Amino acid sequence: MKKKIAISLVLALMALACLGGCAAKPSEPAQASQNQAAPAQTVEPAAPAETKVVVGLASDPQSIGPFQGMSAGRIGILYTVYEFLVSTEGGEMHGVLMKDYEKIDDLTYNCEIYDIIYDQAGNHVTAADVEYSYQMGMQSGNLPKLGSIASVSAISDYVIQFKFNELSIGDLGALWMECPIVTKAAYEASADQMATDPISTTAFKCTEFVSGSKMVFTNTKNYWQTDASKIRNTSKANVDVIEFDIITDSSQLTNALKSGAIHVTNWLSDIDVQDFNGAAGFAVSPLPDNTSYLLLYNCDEQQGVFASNLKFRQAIAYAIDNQQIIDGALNGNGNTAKTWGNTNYSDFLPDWLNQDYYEADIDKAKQLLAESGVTDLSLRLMIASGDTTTKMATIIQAQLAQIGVTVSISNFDAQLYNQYKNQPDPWDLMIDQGGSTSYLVNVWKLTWNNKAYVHGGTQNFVQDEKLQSLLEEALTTDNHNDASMDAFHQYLKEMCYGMAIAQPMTNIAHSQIISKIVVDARGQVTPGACSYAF
Amino acid sequence: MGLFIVKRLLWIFPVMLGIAILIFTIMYICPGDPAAAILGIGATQIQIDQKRAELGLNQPYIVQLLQYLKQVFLELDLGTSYFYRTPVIDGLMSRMHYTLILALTCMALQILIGTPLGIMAATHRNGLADRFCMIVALAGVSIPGFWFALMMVVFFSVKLGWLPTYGVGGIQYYIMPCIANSFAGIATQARQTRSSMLEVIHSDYISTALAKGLSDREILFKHALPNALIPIITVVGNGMGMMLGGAVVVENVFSIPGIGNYMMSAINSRDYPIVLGGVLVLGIVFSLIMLMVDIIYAFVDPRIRARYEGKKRGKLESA
Repeated sequence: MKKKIAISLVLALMALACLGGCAAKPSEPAQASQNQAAPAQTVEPAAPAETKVVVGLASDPQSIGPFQGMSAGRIGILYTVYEFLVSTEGGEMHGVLMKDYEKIDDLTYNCEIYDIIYDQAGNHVTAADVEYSYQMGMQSGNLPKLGSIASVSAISDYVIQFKFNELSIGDLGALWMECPIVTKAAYEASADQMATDPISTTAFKCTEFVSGSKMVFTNTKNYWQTDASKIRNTSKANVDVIEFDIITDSSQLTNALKSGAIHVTNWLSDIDVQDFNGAAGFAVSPLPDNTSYLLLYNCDEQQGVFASNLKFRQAIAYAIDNQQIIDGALNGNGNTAKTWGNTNYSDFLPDWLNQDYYEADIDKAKQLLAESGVTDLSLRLMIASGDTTTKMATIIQAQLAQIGVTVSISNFDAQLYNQYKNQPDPWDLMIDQGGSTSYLVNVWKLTWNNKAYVHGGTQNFVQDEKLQSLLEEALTTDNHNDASMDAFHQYLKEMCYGMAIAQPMTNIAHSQIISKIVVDARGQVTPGACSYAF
Repeated sequence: MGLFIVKRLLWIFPVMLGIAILIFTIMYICPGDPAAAILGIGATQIQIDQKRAELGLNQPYIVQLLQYLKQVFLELDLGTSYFYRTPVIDGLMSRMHYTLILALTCMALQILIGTPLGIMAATHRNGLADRFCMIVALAGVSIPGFWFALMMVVFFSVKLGWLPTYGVGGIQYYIMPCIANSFAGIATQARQTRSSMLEVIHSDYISTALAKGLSDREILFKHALPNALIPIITVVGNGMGMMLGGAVVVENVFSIPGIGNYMMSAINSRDYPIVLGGVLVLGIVFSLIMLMVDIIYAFVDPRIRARYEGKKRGKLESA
């Protein structure tokens, strides 16, 4: 009998363990960052506690060396680890290490840095270090944007001269925000090229690096810039310790926030974020995202089914209901797009909000499809794997089925997706996501600039000289105005080489110890600049 | 016996060579471009091609393979990570202890829980204890490890706050990962032990021992268990392979920076040197474990020991 009771108890406990947690709701998050199971009991009043914030990253930045390529994990930690010549806030460029700059001619600029900059090892940062950093960045080949720089040279102790091969609107800020600045002395003294122990000029020094697990940065309280009015968001230090924890499993990221092990992450899906909306101890901060979801048609002359068939492209565009996608895939967190990019850029024209942009119309889509003369109505839709893109693809699949088009979804991991999107054979339709840290025209440039692709076409293999000339016009600093922007927008809409689907909102779920979330130009949480209520 | 061990150790080299060629070929065939991964979004095809040339990825397959084999087997160098820019062997060694702690603890749990459960089930055949053990075993082999892990996290970490959600640190960090990773092993061990014990229990020599009036304990531990051990030890050896493989999943769920996590990240970013090096190191570890299993066989079973010593005895007999 005792055995039966014991066995019943064990079985009940197992069932409870397995099923009881299914309906878990977020509990009150811990006030201090902790992974520890039991909170320590304090008996005596202690000295003011060190303030610490733990940020959850879903992707491993791997090396945190200065001259590594950009990755999803790296952009989450970038401004805590390094400083750059400038940063952008609200689309405007502001000096960080740079004190001022001077235009010499269209392709030559002199950049003056502050003379009071010291790195965490006490090395004085001079123009020679900036030159060294840029030379190393260019030599590494890992920072593709630096390819636009013809030369960089220190012309005095604190002035660096940049000569560019070409310079479009927004490029200056992008190039000065691309390469982290380190001192030659510190970089050469590093045994692993700063991969695990960087020495930079930020207020935070890396004090613990557990590869693939966590990175801890501690406020040195010895930041070189003492004039608070000149400290940009990316350089602020409102907290003593910032810990980045790498949690690659998306369910675990949610669990970590619920249990108080992390305080903030901007990697939760729109569905998971809702768990924290109104939950005690948590807040959700909606912030505009600078990216958009985009749909491209394969216009390759040989293999693209959409090449030379405007009506087929338009038929697909009118069959897709963007609002349905926002409701279904983004859980309502977004807005319909009105151009190739989103509305948050300063060069977005408000008039476009009132203009038609492929509003869903099934009858029109059917008519255009019939007129297109296409007989093979099977399409391959390629996406980078992810919850949101998969839902989007599924909705598009259902919507296109309404006009008789059969869509098969090709779901690839990010690396493979990035490889296949430059090849014309693996896809007919593709969902992409793009954004810029400066201007809308630079979102256009990513996709539609045929000079960036070896095949000589746009990203989706369009060969259209008019499109290219309109883009170049809008990209030129002198001609970047409402007229040139509108000309490109209208032509792209008319030719329908692709369409923007939606502009998402970034909903950042966080513990209430963070009273105000601040994000950088790439939409990543900037923990040093956030406001705290410890 | 010594000769046998030396022979088995020498066999590890061709096995490793085979593994290296196989994994290199698989990685070569698999789609995905490390150069594109390193350069990130925004890199042009020209820049990607330059990076491919820099990494030697534009060479023909056979040239790349021979270079890699020369580097690994002649220079004893597993290469340098494309991303970390550090030697792969350093990366693996710095993470090895996390994986070994996890795998060895799971192995201990498998033996210490699975074996008694199996013995209990066999000695109480068709009884309540047998049914309980087999229900646990069925659950163990049926429930996916990652799901069980997440359910434990939700219950013990999010709801109760008893255990940390993820990461590494004290012993409490290993409780849920070890349970999740060993559950299937415990189940397999229990089922194998039960099956082996049942086979032995019905042998004539056990009936003889019973007839001699030996106690149940003596029969069980002196006569039945030693004779049932061979298949049990085999399961333990294979289980270690499962633990090392399962560590990839569990380390990712619990963010444990072990070899599995390292390799998973490398696979996603196409960091080939890490993947190849990781597989080779795990292959060596597994080969050594299987060698230990073979040696244990000899200690446990006199018939196997006699086979190893057969040549020597044959000479004596002929004399």
